[in-house]
Amino acid sequence: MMASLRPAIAPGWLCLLLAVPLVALAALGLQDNGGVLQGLALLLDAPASGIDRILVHYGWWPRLTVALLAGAGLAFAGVIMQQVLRNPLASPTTLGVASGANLALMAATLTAPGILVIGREWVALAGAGLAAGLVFLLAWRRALAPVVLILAGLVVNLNLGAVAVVLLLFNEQTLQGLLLWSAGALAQNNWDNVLFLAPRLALAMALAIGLARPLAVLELDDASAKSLGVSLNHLRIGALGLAVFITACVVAAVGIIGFIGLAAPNIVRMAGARRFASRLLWSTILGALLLAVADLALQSLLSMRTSVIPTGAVVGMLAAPLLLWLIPRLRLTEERLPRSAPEGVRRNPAVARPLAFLSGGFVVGLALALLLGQTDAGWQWAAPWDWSILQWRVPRLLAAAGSGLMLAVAGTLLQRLSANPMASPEVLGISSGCALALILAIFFLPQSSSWMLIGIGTLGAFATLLAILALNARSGFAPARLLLTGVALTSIFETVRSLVMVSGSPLLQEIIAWLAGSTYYVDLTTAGIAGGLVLLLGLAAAPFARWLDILPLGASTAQALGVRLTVARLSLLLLVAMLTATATLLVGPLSFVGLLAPHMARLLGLHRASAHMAGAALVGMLLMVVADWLGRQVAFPDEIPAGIAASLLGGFYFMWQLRRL
Amino acid sequence: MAETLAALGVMPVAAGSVAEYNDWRGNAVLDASVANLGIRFRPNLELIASLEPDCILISRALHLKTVPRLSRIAPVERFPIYQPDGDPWQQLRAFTREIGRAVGREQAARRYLDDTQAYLRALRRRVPDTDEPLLIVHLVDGRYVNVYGERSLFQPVLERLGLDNAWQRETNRWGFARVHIRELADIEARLVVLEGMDPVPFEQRLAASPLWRNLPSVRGGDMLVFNPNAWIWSALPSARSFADKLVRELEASHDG
Repeated sequence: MMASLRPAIAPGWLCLLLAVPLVALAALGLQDNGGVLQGLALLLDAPASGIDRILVHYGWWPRLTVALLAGAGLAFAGVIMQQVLRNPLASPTTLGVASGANLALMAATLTAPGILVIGREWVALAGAGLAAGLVFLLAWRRALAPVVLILAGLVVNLNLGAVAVVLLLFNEQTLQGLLLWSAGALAQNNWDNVLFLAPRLALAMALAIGLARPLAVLELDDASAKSLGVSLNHLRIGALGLAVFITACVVAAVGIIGFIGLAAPNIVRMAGARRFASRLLWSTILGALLLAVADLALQSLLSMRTSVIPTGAVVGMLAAPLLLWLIPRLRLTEERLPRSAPEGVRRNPAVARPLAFLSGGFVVGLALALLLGQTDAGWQWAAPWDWSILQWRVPRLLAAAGSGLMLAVAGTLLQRLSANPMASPEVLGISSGCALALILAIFFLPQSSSWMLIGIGTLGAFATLLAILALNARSGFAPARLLLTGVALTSIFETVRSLVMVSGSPLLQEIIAWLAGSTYYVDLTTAGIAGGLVLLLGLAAAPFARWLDILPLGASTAQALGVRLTVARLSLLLLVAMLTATATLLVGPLSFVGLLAPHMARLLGLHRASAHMAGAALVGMLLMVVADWLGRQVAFPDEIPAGIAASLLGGFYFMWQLRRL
Repeated sequence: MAETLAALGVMPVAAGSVAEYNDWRGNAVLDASVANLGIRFRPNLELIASLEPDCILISRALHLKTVPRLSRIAPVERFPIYQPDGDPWQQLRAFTREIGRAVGREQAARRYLDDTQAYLRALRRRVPDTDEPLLIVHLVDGRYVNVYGERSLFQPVLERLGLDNAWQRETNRWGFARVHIRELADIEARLVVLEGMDPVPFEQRLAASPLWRNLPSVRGGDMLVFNPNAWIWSALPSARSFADKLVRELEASHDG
């Protein structure tokens, strides 16, 4: 407690230190735009003529002001989020705010573009509010417990993201402008955004400061906080509501800007600000300075370039080193998912029945997907020997089933390994690493052959895996830390993706489609190779069954039973990485299958490791095959990628599960 | 590509993104009989196979991974549309000739090329006398524009019409640069705002932004706003449509 009583001076110095480059860069910027003194005068004076002076008044100054405001707002919201969710990796967009705003804007652009000029902010605000409301609703039954909120946010983010990708796939040209917005391009045309943000942020911040004292109590656990007479529910709703509102306003005005809301609170904490009130104060100032300095630096660096580099995406990339530095230093209290009731499933000793049931389902699904489909002349059954039609469907179904199997097995391994029902290969970040490498390859080496791409993708997956291993070696691959690393990698990947998206290149379409998990690009050879790999890797997983039965019992039990923890974890992780890399290469990084299939297998009563794995594999294959088929039929002749269809199917199922959690 | 075919008198059996394409061109260039294959980047292979085409024409830049499978359906002809070097106008002509050869319409292709040349020459005579260069942009949103440069579809049209392109700075390899409107401020030119990309009407953009209103060209009323009904990833028919609309606008502003 001594430390927290010492007044925090260091963060103040830090802010002062950052104010120096701000002033210097601002002066430099004004100098370039016709002189510092004239520039200062132009802050308040609206010039009637002279494009240079108009640019300063309506372009340069609003941009700086918006950067300061947005930075402050995001950092402020970040502190509150991290406090309430008790997670230093929570950020203002954790609760679905940004993806809700994004989707609402897309829908508005496509249906009523006129709205965008009059009230873009309102559309975004409505979308953000709805998404956050959905998150609250999902976590309501669990009294808004932080872990459940974060999970609900994750699911909502993923699901809204999937819908957004579908819209983007079919309306790429119309949504170009929106891509720029969502990447956080800070350029301003007038003072409207400032006038929109300033009063709202001021009001919300004033209200939140009123909550500062009770919020400080949240550092204790629920029971102690309650004993101090704090109504946890009201406090959480109030505080998160304000944070969501602030974030939504910022997102509505300037688009999605990562990093600040995550970084500023953590930097300030590490600089020595322990008490909640002082963290709130210094984070806000630091956030404002950070974003403004980054934006000014970017402007002067890129003044000569003719391509758009949005500040939001660049700033988001700065998060990478910070997070990777941060994670090994986090003090993690192993927070487990709260279990409200005993699991509603009895251990079922007879595993034969559910497995037979699943196999039957898979065969029926496969037959349906192979033989029934729309053609030029409407719905038609194909004859099972009609290779002229089947040749188009077989490779895709092989790829879908194969990737479903691999992701399901990888997910089972991870969930058992980490004793965490939310673990999945997508969450671990391996898919993201692989996808990142491939995006860069497609973009910078457009001539590369598919073999080159496979190589590059595998390299990306393994580089990610190595990074994950290196970052977690000290902790002996503790599961919670592993997952956090994955979350961090995924967020980095998101920013790079948005950076590539704003270039307006026609190559984007291929990237978007592949990212969405389309089996379109799979031909028979690829499918054959993949099938072989699937068998190989799937069989490789079988001998691990004993470890997998023991590991969920906890580290000490496992050691007592003679399992060498590090070896077991390392070899299982390697297998997971290979499975994920192969699946990602086939159908892209986006799907819920690795998360979902193990769950469903367990719900069917499959608990022993080997039966669990087999069941999950069957569920994974069935899900992907059905998703691929649905995706090809729903919008015929257009195709909704299998990954998207699967993640929509899975996402809704998951939301439903969360409600019952 | 489909529009070039149509111009040579061969209506394709099917094409990608039919509705989107007709939207950009403003009128139904492709008949209702042309089957839609889905988005042009991922034409539905099964559907293509079931239509049993005689020949499949694709752009060389796209569909690399699909070519082997397309070849199993019918002979595939791949055409370069956007090449990084060489004279764009010659490329457009060569492209048209090659399409003609692929569908056995060399005669028609040659006629179409001559006709286009005559058409542009006639338009050129109608262009009011001016040495002011043109700055051709599509709005992306309220702040950013795609400005078309040396390697765009519009450049050869300007050259044939005896007009200058004001954008002399670098572009990406598809012939445009995406810039903030600030970059347009110090270019002295007549601004040509093409509609059809930004879903919001240009007047609304203008009303919302003092920056737009105060660009020298906009302030001086030295500006043309029209929909060129051209598909920017396209060839001669779109180029002709753009030329036609541009000259009409130039005449109108000259007279008015």
